[in-house]
Formats: sequence, C-alpha cells, structure tokens
Amino acid sequence: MAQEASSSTSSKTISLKTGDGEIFEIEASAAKQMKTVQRLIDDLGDDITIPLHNVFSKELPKIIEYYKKDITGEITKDFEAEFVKDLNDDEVKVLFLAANYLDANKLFEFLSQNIADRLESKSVEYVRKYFGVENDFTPEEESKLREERAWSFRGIKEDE
Amino acid sequence: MSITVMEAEEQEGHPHMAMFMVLGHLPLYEILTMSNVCKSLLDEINSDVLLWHRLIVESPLNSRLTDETLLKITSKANGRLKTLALMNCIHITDQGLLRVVEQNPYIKELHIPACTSITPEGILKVVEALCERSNCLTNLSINGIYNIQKEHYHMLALNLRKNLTLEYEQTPPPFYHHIQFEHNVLASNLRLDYEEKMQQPVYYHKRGSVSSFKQGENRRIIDLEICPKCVEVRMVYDCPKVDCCKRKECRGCIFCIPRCENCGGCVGSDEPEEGACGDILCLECWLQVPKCNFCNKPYCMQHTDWWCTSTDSSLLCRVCDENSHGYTYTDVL
Repeated sequence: MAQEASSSTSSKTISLKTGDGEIFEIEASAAKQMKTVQRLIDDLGDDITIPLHNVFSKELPKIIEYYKKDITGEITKDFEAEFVKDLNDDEVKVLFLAANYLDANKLFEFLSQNIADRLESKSVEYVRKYFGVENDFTPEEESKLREERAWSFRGIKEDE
Repeated sequence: MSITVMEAEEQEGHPHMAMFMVLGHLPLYEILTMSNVCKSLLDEINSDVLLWHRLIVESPLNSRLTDETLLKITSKANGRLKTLALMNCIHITDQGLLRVVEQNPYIKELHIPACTSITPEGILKVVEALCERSNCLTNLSINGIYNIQKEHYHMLALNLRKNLTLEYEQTPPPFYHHIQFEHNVLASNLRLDYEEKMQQPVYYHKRGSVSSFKQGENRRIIDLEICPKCVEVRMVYDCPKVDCCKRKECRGCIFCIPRCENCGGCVGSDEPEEGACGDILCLECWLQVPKCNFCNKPYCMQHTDWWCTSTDSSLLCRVCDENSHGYTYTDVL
C-alpha cells in the first residue's frame, strides 16, 4: 500500500495485536517511537492491525502509557519514578525486553537504568537467576576470577 | 521466568543480548558482579572499551579502592576515560588521581566528593592538567574535600573558564555566532547547556549524597559556590518556596540558611521542628507527616524506614521504641 509522506497525522490511531490476541490502540505519533512497529506499518500499511507476537497484554498497556506521556512531552523524573514504583524486578525485566523488541529507545534506556539501579549490591547468584543465565565457569576459572577481584572483597586489609 | 519475549533464536542459559545494554549503567561493583556471572558477560565486559569510558565507584568499593587499583581499572579505557566518579573513595590520593588524569587527558566529568585523602592543591593540579585543552572538563564535584579555601575556588573557576563553555559567560552575543560557525551544533548545544546549568536551581532536599552517583543529571560546572552570606566555599542552595519573601536572595549554605529536609524551603529561626532523626522540618511539612505516638516527633523523608510499630500497631520512633522495652508490664499498669 502506497504510504503518503504525511499519512501519519497526529490524530490517526494504529491497532496493535498482542501475542495473546488482545488489541490495543495507539496514536500514530506514539507508534513512530517504536521502530519495530513503525517498520511493520511501513510494510503492512497503517490500516491493518499490527501483530506483535512477542509482546503480551500484560505489558503493552504500560508501554502505551509511557509513550502517551512522551508525545505530550510530559515525561519527568517524577513520572518515571512513579511508572516503575510498584513494579517488581521481574515485571521491569519483561517491560525491558518488550521495549527492546519494539525498538522503543527512550523507554529502553530508562528501563536499562532502572534495572541497573535494582541490581545494586545484588549477588552473582541473584543476577544469574534474574537473567536466567547458567554458570559456565569451571571451578578453576572461578577461583582465578576471585583472585583478581580479591581487592574488592570485604575484610581485605586496608592500607592504614 | 517469564518467556514472553524470549526470541526463538535465544540460547537457553545465555544472557539475552539486551542485558548487555544494562552494563553501561552500572557502577564498578555491579560490573564486577556481572563479570562473574558467565563467560559471555565476562568477555563482553573485558572487550567493550566503551564501557570503561565511564567509571563509577561507590559503596562498598569506595573504602577498598587504592591508587594502584584505580590506575589499573582506568587503563581499560585506553586513554579515553570521559566520566570518573569516585564517591567517598577515602584512599585515593592526589598522586593517584593525577596519574589517572595524565593517562586520560580527555576527562569531561570529574566527581570526587568526600575523597578525603585528596587535597585542594591536588585538585588544582588535576584541573589545570585537564583544562590545558579547551572544552575538556565540564563538570567538577568536590563537596566534602577538606580545607577548600576561597583562593582554591577562584583558581579552579579561573581554570574552568579557559574551557569553552565558560567563555560564553563573558563573550557578547556576536561572538557566539562566530563560535557557532566554527563549531556548529556543538557550540549552540554547549551554550544552551551552560546557560541552563548556571540557572539550574540547587535544592537542599534534592541534594543526594556523596555515597551514590546520580547519573544523567543536569549539573553545575562546579558543585560548590561561595556562600553569599558567610563567604565560605560551600554547597549553596536555592529556595523552592514560591512565596519566599526574598526568593532570589534566599540563597546560602546550610549553615547560613537552615532548610527543611522534606521540601528544601528555608526555615526561619523561630520555626524549625526537629524530627526524631535530628533533622529539621519546616512547620508546613511537620504538620503533614506522621508522628510518633509517644514523643510526637516525625521522621524526615530520608528516614521513614526508621519507623517502628508498637504492640497496638501505632507508630513509634526508634528512640521511644527502645525506651519502651525498658518498661515492665507492671509499670504500664
């Protein structure tokens, strides 16, 4: 379908369908901020419901809420703090990965920082569980790493 | 673990590529943790030079970092270190910092609050070295360093003035255009940045701490100022009270103008209300916050996690809670 250069006026809405079959509407200007969505619009046209296989009805409304604020220029530090205040670490991770899939840069950057903040002082084990990552170091490799990091552990003699 | 957004090609047990993007937001301690998680993260951390262009050292490493270790870590930046934040790193000395700066002459942001082994003379040497090139050091945080005198402050400001951004303060508009031709977008961005930064109010209740580095904030060129009231080199705060009688003049260090912990507003000499934590609140804030059932004192915003609950679920401050354990049942009767 031929796209007019100015076809995405601010009043136009785009339909998005989540992986679990629910449909949400967003403004075309918000869709522009999600590069994956915009690419799909460019390929499929803006009259068709855009399928998002990897995003689900739990997280998409939150993402839409963020970009609704973004297009009115109302995103402040306070808004961002409120936005993540009641989310647990796993919920933030799901949003983060969804923002990555959607190529929604501003939200992605913000959530990266938020995850980084949540990882403060967390243990290696916690991080492994959180990211779903397996330990592929051999015991020898691990003890070598520990040696290199020795200075950073508690109880190291501090030069008085 | 939720698999809603795992892509089909994702390998089990390996970190999603998006996770690597979090690395750039982490302070050193957490980067070291991540490097112990798995091989691909270790490889990424060791090979990504860009990651090491910014180094943030906070608790718990602040008391363990030595000059030697600092030099070793900063060498990973291959001379391109841009942001160095050493928060309360008490063992870093003038020499240690200078060596890092000699190897990394393009540092733009230097935050060394409460690095108590560093002296004002040491800072001067470092800043002079960094300001040899124009448009180099754009942010300096030195609150908490001992013995900074007005003379030091003036020398620092002088050096930073050689810096391109500060030139805008003194050059008239036509010169801005001239510079814009030379430096295009960079110059106009810098000018706007600079003006914004110098007009940025600094509020007491948003002052943060010397123990954690807040990223991405609009900062002043130097965090300290000369207090208009006592003429000492201190953190100077603005008044957020809209109806403060002398708003523009209500600027001073915390010793000259006591401020409320919750709202940052000035607290007159007859007004201060003390919280159970010892911090002061203005009357308005005091009225709005919950109080201890025994002594009627509140906690300020920073200490709300100090509240205890008594046996009848009412709020108790820590002091009264401790005291209450001294009561026996018969005393209560």
